[in-house]
Amino acid sequence: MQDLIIFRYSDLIWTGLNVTIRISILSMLAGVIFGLIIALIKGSKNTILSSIGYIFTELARNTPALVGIMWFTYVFPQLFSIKIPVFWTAWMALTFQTTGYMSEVFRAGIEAIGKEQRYAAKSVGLTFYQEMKLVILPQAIRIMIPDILNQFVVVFKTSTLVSVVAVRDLMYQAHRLSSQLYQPVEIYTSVAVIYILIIFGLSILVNLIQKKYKIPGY
Amino acid sequence: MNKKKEPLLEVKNLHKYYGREKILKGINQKIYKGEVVTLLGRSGSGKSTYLRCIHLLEEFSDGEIILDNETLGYTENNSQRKPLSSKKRALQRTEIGMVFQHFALFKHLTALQNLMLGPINAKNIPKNIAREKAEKQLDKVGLLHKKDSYPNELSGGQRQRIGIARALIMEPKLMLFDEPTSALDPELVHNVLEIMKDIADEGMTMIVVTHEISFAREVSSRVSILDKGKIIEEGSPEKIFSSPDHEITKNFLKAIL
Repeated sequence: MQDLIIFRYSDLIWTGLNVTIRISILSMLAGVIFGLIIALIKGSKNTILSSIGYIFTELARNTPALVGIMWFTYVFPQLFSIKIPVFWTAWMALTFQTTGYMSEVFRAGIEAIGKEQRYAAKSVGLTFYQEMKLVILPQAIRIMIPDILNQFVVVFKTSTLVSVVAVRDLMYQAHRLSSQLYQPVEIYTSVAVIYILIIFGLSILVNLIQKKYKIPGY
Repeated sequence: MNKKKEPLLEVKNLHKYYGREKILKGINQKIYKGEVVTLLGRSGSGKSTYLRCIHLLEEFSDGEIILDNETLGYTENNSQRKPLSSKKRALQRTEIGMVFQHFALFKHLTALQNLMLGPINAKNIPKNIAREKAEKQLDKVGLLHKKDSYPNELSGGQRQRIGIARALIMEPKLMLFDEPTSALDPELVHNVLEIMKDIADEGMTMIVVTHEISFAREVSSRVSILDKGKIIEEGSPEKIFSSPDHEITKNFLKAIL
């Protein structure tokens, strides 16, 4: 076992995994927050505002991930003539896409709660903010957990593309090792196993969360 | 009926358009303190929309709603009609309680929490006092022993009694009932109607949309017939149920009696 390359070069693998996990979690977190904001904008009664939300969603969802990563890394900094580390341009690209998908997940989740719940929340005197925080989102999030997990898995998998712009994630390290040691079979297989184990672990975790927060009798 | 000079609720020329469709076409109504008004009408006549407009759950296109000398939802500035701030509207909604056809209990909260949500968040009542009030109110509808149950663990009748308690705990001036028993199994209807009767006996002003004619006959002081967004006929239950003037009313009553 110790002879496996991933163990011999475990420090490289760990640094790579660290970057992969960080960029995935940070894009996911930002995607959830911005996704919620875009979802609320899409639900606005103001048609101009809601159109902007929908246009954003379509742009975000229809841009291929790799194109997004290239664009944010090579175009975006030039447009504003600023320097941004590749980690953050890659993060922007992943966040952009995640926001698009999450805004749809939130919109559908909020709509699934139904009008009567919203009327009832208003009826007892809640403001829009309280209605969302205390009544709609606690119920909607329970419905959305599978979709949110699914999106996290997508982000996790898509994050392998950031190696293309030299973000030193797990995939980047694998590629580097492979070209140094000429052992692609072992290295890429090991890395595949790491990715699969993490994603599998995630879905078990989410199942547990879902059981814990189940509404009795629901 | 103790009529005072000033009505508790005055609805003037209420219009509601939904796109090109006219849902309400000029409703005028005065309701005095302690009155129980039953609203009857075919489905699609605008009954629910009317209640939701009074409760500011829906925008209305024209007209004025005055509750206890306060204009609801809008201000008139140089004859320009402007919506009030959402905070102000939320505050005005606490003056009115509403009971929904499908109960609309907050599914993620226990019975007790359902009652406490409004007082704590809309009226800033301390938690322990809100809890006391909520327990008292649950006891009143006979469901104190269910205080820790979630809505989906309760029967329809129990849910609706909690829905009523949740509205009452806000100490509203006016209660609106939107077909409170029509989603219930027949054997559960009686219990909910009894509670509504108790509330009426305590002097609450109520507008009730219902097809329960016995309730309308026994409890209400007035029956209003709504058709195509207008009140076409109004009067005491005896008058409406025995000798209605309007042809539409006659046909409608024939269908439901």
